[in-house]
Amino acid sequence: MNEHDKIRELLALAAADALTSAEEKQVAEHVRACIACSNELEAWRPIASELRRLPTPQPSSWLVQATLARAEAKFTEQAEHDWNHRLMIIVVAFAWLLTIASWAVFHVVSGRFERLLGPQFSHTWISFAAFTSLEWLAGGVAAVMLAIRQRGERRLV
Amino acid sequence: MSRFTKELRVIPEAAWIFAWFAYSCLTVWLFFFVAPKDPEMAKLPRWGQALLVYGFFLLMVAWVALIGYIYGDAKRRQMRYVMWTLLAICIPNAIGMVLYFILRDPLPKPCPGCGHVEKAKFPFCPRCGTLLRPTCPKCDKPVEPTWANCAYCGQQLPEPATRATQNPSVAT
Amino acid sequence: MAVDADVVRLRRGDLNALSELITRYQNRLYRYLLRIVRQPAEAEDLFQQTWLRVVEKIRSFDASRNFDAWLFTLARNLAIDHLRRIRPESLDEPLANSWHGESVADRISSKDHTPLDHALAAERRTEISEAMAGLPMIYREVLTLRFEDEMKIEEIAQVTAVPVSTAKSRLRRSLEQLRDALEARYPGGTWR
Repeated sequence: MNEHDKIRELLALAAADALTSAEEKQVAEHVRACIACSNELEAWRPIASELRRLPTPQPSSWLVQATLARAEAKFTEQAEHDWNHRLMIIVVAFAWLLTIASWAVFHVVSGRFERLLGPQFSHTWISFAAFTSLEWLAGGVAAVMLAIRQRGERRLV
Repeated sequence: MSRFTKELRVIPEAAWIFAWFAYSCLTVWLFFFVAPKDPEMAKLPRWGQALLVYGFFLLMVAWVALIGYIYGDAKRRQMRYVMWTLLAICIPNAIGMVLYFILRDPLPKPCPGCGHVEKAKFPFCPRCGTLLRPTCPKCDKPVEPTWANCAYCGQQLPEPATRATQNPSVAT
Repeated sequence: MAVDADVVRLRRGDLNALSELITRYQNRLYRYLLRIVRQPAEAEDLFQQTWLRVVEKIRSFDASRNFDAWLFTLARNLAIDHLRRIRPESLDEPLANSWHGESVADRISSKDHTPLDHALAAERRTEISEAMAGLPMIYREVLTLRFEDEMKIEEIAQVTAVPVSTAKSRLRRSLEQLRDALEARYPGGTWR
């Protein structure tokens, strides 16, 4: 009988309270009529009830404290990391803003002085490119020097 | 108080005073005296000129404030603050500033024994010898609280709550 | 719900919320990890690692989601990675000296009435614990989530990363295997 087999499959889940209300109704109805399934269901109940009442294993008494100490350290480390990340984005955006602003300033200033300095400086884009490249070169050189110095200092500790 | 406002307090008062003073002087000079006479600026309507002049120089205020921040921050981290401030000023387009934020030292904590503040990387206080950071019991290198084993020698570490932070037995 | 308030506080940077969360989940999370790895020392270590992971990822956690399911999913992933590295065979097979529940007598529920009931219940629970420890990991896991943590099937499906129908059939098969194991170990006893 197809229905009977289907219900038998649901009996374990019924004891576990894991059925939908439609399935529960089905099972309840069938069990009222079928003695074999009723007995099966009763056989599942002690297993389910004992599973629910298994003793809770206790961790060591210091586990919470130890975890908290580590987690707090990680938390402050993470907050610091997130903050530095945000700060870097702002500073780099600011650096770009200054770069673009410096082009405008350079344009204005060179425009004023081109009568004094001669016509070649009115090639604006080349001037911008040269100016910006020189800055980045200066920055790059400084970065390398500082990084080498830092690495030397860190090795001493 | 958010992190941002807390960090703003690092900027010395002098920096803010200088920044706003320079801002007022420059913007007033440019807006009232230079702009009306300038051939290109006069093409813009008066409010456009105001926006350009007053808006643009806010960048300058931000720049001075950042330099002030680098001065104050490098000082509290026990770094060479004069050098870093000069680098931030002289390397153009805030590249020096970007470098500073990448390369800066971590924030040091005051010594629990004598209150003296030294660089964050030192494991012992140079004034009173108190152990500042927990160290590995086997190789004596400073260890992080999140570690379960020493990253230098592999020794298993005791729980952070019980790690030794008192003076080691030097008198042997 | 108190847990959700703590999660929101934690996301904003309140360390006291962290302390309360760890305390609140200490037994449940430890029990779940212990059922999976079956070694108390490893379960404690994984407990710590789970909370470190929580701290790492709390910013990207959407507070409207179910914190329980997320926490247990993190723990589960860590435990499975751990087992794959240390004892890959234990993901399917029983372990010889695994923990299966000692000093059960200390923690008997007060629902039992007579001393005889106490003794019988204690015995039955030891038998169940032992039989459960012999099941494959995915069956132990679904049993503990359903009966000890009382998670709904949908939550179990979320934590174990399977569809609801799979979770249901796993639960059914785990119960059937458990019962077969009990009847095999203790024939003619209380489990017929």
